[in-house]
Amino acid sequence: MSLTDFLAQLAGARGEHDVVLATMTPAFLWPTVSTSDLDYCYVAPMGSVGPLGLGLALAQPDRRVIVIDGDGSLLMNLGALVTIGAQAPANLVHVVVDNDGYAITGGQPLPGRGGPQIRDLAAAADYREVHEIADPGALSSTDVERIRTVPGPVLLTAHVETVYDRSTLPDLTHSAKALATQGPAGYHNLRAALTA
Amino acid sequence: MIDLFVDALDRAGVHHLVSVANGESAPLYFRLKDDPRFTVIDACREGEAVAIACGLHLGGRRALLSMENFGLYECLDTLRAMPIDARIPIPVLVGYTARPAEGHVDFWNGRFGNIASQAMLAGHWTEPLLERLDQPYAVVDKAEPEHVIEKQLQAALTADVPSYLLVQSF
Repeated sequence: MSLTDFLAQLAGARGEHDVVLATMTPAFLWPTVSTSDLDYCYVAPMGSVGPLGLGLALAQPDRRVIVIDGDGSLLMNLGALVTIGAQAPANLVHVVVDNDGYAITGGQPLPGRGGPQIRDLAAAADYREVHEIADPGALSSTDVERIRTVPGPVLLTAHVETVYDRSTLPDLTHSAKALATQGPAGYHNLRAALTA
Repeated sequence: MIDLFVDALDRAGVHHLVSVANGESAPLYFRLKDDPRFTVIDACREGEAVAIACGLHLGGRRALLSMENFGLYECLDTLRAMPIDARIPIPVLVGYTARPAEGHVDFWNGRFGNIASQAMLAGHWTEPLLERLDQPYAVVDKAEPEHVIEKQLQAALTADVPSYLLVQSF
């Protein structure tokens, strides 16, 4: 299952008023599958999208916040799992794309590859719901419920095929949609939409 | 000085503290933790704390970030990529450990003697680093008159970019 196909499934599953924050490789691809104005995509620093989503979820507790993280990205700030578990935002969904390596930097393996599983670490950090999506290419109705309504913090992992050739990623300037959701402009556009 | 901070934060609508443990701001931390007007979020690491504060701002809330100057060095990349790049107005309270000041003896150089040299060096980095990065900051000294401290607080709380308050003690 390709990452793009999984992201397309995720875009179809999100609620109309849900916010999506995407980082690293998914940040390049998300604007190609999403038509929502409630998106923010950025590529650095690794490990920050979980805490960013936590802050937003605490600021707007009535709104579902979905963050799309990478396995390597999450490991760069592993303590954030503990912080998120302690704050226990019911409206936060933490999606972790699992491809066994750092795709965006050329495919270096994860430290501890084959060792501790991110979902086990999240469960130990008191995430309320932890689940591995069985088929990222065809989300089940319970997967969709976990994304849309199950009280969080929810952590979902999705194993996608390993592609370590970043030349295949779309140019961040490929569309007006991508430009509007990326970087500082993307941040302020989303803030304006959320605080209007 | 704690009362000045609490009142200024309340007036400015800054009702969240995102904190990474540091000795210098501990008195303010515990005061805010006991005040129902404020929500304190404990973070494990400084970069994480920066991102949480940005997320709160993204959702329309304002937060005070609190960390030690050594922690400031830890999170430079997150500061660069998020609040500095995007001009997000976050006040940052920086515990000024090992402040280079004549005759000053703090916990580190008081307890560890020569071993403290590394800490002292790190203290010497703080202000030059912020200057090099073009980041607005003020050294807040509780011995100064209240009106001076109030002015420093107002400047940090009304800035339209990250602004740093270096505090050695409350």
